[in-house]
Amino acid sequence: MSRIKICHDAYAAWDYEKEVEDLNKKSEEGWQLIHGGCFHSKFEENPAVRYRYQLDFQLHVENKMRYRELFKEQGWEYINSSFNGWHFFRKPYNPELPEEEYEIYMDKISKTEIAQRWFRMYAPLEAVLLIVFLICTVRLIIAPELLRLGILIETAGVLALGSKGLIDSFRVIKGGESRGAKTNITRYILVVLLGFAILTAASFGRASGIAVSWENAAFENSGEWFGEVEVVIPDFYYVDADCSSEIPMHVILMDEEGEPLFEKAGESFTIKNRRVFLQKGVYTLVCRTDEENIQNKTVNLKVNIS
Amino acid sequence: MKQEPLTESYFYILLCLAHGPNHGYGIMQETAALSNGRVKIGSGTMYGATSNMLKKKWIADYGNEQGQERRRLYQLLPAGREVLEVEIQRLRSLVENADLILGGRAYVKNKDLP
Repeated sequence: MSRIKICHDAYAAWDYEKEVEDLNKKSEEGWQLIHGGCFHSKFEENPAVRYRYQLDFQLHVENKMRYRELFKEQGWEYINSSFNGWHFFRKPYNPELPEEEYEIYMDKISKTEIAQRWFRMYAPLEAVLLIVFLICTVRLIIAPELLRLGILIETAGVLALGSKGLIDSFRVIKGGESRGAKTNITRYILVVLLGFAILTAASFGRASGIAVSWENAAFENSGEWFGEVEVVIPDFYYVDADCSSEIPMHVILMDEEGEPLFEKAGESFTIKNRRVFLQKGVYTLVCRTDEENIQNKTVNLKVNIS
Repeated sequence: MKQEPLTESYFYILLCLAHGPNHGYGIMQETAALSNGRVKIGSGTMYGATSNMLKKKWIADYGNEQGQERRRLYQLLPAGREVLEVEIQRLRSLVENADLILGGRAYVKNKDLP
């Protein structure tokens, strides 16, 4: 049994020529690609042979038989196709044959076809992403919130990677050969993951929405209620309250030092989406009345912090 | 409608089918021989070009050849022949124009033109 090696090198679509170079280099070192894909390529150790590799990008191959035949006719062995439209081929290397034998797009026009195909497919998507990004930015400016920041960072990561791709492939379409350094996909993925982490943290932190509800509660001896609120993720939160009482009520949200962050008083009132910034910590929600004659008075009060 | 100039690959594929059905490998070899090795049609180019021409009905599938390899054959359709002839006409006029200027023949410049 020969040894098998799995590689997780990621190549951007527009860096396929670099991927081909690396595959050829690996073949020279004795590692032969037996299954290609993005993020997951399988190599088999075999120092006795040497292959030249080629990648083709065809999102949709109408006639797979005909497609593979045309490669086979010129000595290309079909390896596999990845889910995202890349097809891997190899040909045993013979140093006596001219380099042209190892190309699948000989003329400049069809050489840029791959870049063109990719450009055409991705450009509309990038336009949509740009609109989403702008909407996210505006939303974040209007109401800063951790969740929105997370979404914005995520979108920015994907948008940046896409723009790099469009610029690089446009350069290939216009100039033919000239191309920049290999795109470090990992860097962009880290940005997206960072956005995702913020987003997840923000939404999990919010999952524990704090609700206090007294319905048709009758006052007995005390005119005061307390509720504790624990905030894990510092962020902007929304306070909703609905009160209808026979006597004036105070609703106060206090921090650990007893400083009121939010206060509302009255017999009946409604608060919708009042924004308050809460740090990590324990807050106290106090509902009380200053009235002395409280026996048998009823109150309907709902407070929700989310 | 004015016909766009053909790429060399397209031109040779049509040309190599003009005298009868042929397969991809045959077209590639004949093109290399005709052009003294200057034009080579790779597999990727060949698939792209033939797919496009099949769609435009310039060429058609002609079944499989007899013999061991049983390669897929293509044949030229009238529309493809027309395209090839228009292209040859265009190329001929280019060469004629060049001859007119560079070939030392009499050439009267039109004075009305700027």
